[in-house]
Amino acid sequence: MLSHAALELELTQGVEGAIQIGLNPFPNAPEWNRSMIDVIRADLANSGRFRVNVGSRTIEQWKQKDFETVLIAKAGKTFFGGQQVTFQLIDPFKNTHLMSQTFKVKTGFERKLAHHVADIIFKKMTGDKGVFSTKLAYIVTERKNNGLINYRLEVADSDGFNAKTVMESTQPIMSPTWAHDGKSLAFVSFEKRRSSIYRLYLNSGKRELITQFPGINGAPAWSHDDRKLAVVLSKSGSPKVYVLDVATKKLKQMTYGFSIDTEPDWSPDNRHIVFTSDRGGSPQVYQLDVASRKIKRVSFIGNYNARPRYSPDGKSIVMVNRRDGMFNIALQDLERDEVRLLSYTGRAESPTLSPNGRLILYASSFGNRGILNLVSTDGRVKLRLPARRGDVQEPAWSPYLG
Amino acid sequence: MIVRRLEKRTRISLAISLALHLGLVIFFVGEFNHPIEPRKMKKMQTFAMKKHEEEVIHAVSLDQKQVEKRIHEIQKIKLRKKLKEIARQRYLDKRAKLASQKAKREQQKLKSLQASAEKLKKKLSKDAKKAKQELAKLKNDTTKAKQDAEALKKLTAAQKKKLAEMKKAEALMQAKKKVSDSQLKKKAESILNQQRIENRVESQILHYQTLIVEEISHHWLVPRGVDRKLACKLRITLMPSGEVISVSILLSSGDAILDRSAQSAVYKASPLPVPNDKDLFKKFETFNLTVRPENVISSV
Repeated sequence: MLSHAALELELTQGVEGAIQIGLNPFPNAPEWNRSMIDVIRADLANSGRFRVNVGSRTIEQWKQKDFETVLIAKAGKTFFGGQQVTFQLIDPFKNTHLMSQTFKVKTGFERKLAHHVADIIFKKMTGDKGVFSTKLAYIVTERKNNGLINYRLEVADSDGFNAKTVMESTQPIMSPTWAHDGKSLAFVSFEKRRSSIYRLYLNSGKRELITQFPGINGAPAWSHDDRKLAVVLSKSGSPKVYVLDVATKKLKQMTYGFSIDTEPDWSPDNRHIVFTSDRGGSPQVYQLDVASRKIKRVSFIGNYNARPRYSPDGKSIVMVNRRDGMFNIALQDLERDEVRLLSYTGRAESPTLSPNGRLILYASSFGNRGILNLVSTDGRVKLRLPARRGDVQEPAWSPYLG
Repeated sequence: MIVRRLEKRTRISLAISLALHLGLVIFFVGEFNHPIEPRKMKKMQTFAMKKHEEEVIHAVSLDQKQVEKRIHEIQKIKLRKKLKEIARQRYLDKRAKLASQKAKREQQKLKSLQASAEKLKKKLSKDAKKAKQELAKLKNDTTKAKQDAEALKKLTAAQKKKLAEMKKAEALMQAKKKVSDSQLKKKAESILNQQRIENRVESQILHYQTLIVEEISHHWLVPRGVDRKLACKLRITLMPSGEVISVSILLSSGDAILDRSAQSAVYKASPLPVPNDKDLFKKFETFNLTVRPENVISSV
């Protein structure tokens, strides 16, 4: 009697790399190819996680080219004659559908739909939530022909397209920051020839004055439940961190002393606030325990670290590090106490993290223009956002938007 | 003093002669004023005396003036002879002195020569001694070397002997073994033959296993961010041509994306390399593959 146990083989070697995906465009809808297929292609490719190949091929042909995943786009009509599109994600080897969804197409909302489809594909293929449907807020400074400077608070899609001005002023606008419900922005305005903090409701466009204390009113930061706003006020002397209850408007001073404390940011569990302070002699990043008010230093590389921002999982902090006159984005892993530099241009400022924690958007300069750069937290992807008129500064990445 | 030393006979003769010569001496003193040494005087006197005795016998009949003239002449001749004698004596003395001096010098020279000769002799003897010692030492060393060589010879001989003995023992053992071996040999041969056949099969299977894993690995694209510690198990069925019929997930890794990437890899690798032999292929018809992203290289 022969025992016929199955052979046991083991595979441990492979190549880690971008996921290969083939995109089959609409067979006969060129405008949709431009407004949707292109958007999906750019979103997936710019994330750094995909290698995208667009082509009209049969499943068999994709299989021959060793593509594990193919997106097929089909245009169609609804029962009532409206336009609809069907997107299918296919495994050419198993000949199975990974995903199949049909959407109604609303004119003018093609890009939004494309971003949504890209999010679906991204989640299915990588397991991470896609950020293609999120928004970016930033400040544009433009010198007009008459010599006056125009300041604009703009909100655009995650790929920089579809920019909309939500506020305009002849006086500086600074430090835009998203509420975590994605429905409001807080920012600093100098329209009254002095700094004041405002809240803007994006749906209605309505504005609300939050603080207007004597001295500096700056650097607003929303707690993750949007109930509190950390602000920087200098009414007691030097700039200090205060916490304002949004509903009751009650103010609590959090830091004391003669140093400059600014640029606060809340941890995802709302238990800590990181901020920049020169209490040690030069600007460094400190962490405040909200309950105990205990403060401890966080940054330890070099003699200049500022503008800290927590990652969405609270395990890392992004900051600006200066060494030898070069300002670069640094990512500090709080658990491992490791610091990695992510940019090398030497002119980086105001970093903001994507809600999935994978991408960092920051302001830089290119030539003599202020521009926005994108870098992934693993350092692979480096992008420059599309140029626009004027100088772009102080980007803020929105949360996931429903 | 001289008077005391002489014999009685000579003393009497001397007294007579002295009286005779006193007159001569006074005369000579007046003429020459020359002191004479007592010794020489003695010699002179003895000689003169002899001469005087001769002349006294011959000169009896002559006249006074002639006698006086003759005495004067004889005295002159005697004086001349004496002077000659004195001079000769002096010369002889001088020669003697010189000779003695020379002799002394020669003696000194000889002495020094002897001394240096002694020295040389001493040195030579010393050297000879040294040479003797060295020779003795050399002899010693040679003897020692000889002894060592002898010892070595003995040792090698001993070793050789030992080696020979060992060889003998070994040969004996071998012979014994052979006897017992040949008894087992027959039994073992049949088992061995069977093993050989199995090994060949085993190595073939291993060979194809390696080929299959390599082929799948070439097609395995691991998505970024996958947990390297996870593992999934796949069950794969093949056609005799090597084509993949199905890849099912026996055990999920927990990450659907990892599972799918492994599945896709197997499909992409189809057809897999399989043995032609029907019996051998049976092993590969259905097999399990554990996939774990341990040694995954990152592409830039």
